[in-house]
Amino acid sequence: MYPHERSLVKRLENKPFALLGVNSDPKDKVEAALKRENITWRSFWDGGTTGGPIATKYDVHGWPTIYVLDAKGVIRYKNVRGEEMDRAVDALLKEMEKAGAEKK
Amino acid sequence: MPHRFSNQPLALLLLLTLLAFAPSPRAAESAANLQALLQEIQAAPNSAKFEAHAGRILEMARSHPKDPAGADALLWVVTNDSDGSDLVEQALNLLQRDHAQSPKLGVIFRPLADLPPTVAVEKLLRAITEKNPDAGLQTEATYHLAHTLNQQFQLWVKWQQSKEAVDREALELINGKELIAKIKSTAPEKMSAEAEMFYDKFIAAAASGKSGRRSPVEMAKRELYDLRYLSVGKVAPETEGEDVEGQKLKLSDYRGKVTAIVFWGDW
Repeated sequence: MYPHERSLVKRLENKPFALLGVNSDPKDKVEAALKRENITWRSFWDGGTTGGPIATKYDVHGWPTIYVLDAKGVIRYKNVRGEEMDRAVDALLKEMEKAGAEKK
Repeated sequence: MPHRFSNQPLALLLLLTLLAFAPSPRAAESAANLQALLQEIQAAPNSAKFEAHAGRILEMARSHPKDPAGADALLWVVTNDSDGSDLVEQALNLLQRDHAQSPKLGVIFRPLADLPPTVAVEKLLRAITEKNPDAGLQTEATYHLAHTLNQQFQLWVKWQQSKEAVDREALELINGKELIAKIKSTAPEKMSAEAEMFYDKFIAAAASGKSGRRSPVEMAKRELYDLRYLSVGKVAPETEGEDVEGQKLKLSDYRGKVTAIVFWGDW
């Protein structure tokens, strides 16, 4: 999981894209993971358990669960993993570019 | 193996010739993945080949512990076995070793209920209750673990009451030597106390809504919530909190960017 996310973040570092984690680990464990895996993106801390408030709000019962939002904060894809996530993000970025070009 | 041949060098030569000219199924297997193997097996269902299929799955799953498709393939072995063979024990052991966190384990409880309360069953259920991130699965495994420990205790009672050698032999045959050895070497009050503890734990978790089995009303509520607030096309629910380093963080700060929210844990 980590290497794929690292490469996605790296590939899109100059695009209007963000990867936002929601982490369910206890603090010491997540700190170790951040260092070990060189995680550069931010993550909400969900209280240290899998039943945390954000996971509950998003009805998350399996990990990883992924939501992909467009620039307006609208849910556009759910549970796209691996290359599927890349394709979803690319499609939304393309849509944004197109909308931006039409405005001009 | 070559010692079976009277002429070893000749046998070796024959073997090498075969290896050089016949396509090696093993090489093809290690290049493919478990998912492909499972698809191939499912495409041509043949219960007569169960043992051969299960053997290939076990071998590949053993050598590819990190392949998530291993969980599906091993579950195939458990759900398709008809006579509680040793292959199932091996599959359970591998599931416990490598896939206790898999979200797919929900299908395992039904076939487990038909097996004797073996050590492999107990270990897998323990691993699910301890490691699986899905609270529903954990809860369901807690019930089955309580049930398994209870069965082990009942088996101990039966063992004690079976004075005839022939009765004990029958118990050993049905339940396996390993399980009989376990119940003989474990204090019975420990087995029953642990079963009681897990029953209590399950009942408490089920009462607080963490049950794997939901009532129709609960299911409808959850589906409605998902549909109303979490479907494609809905604005993602606003979320405010702190990041893992203690800095304030708000989902709406990310407006203007395509955002992938990834729920993760380092397990």
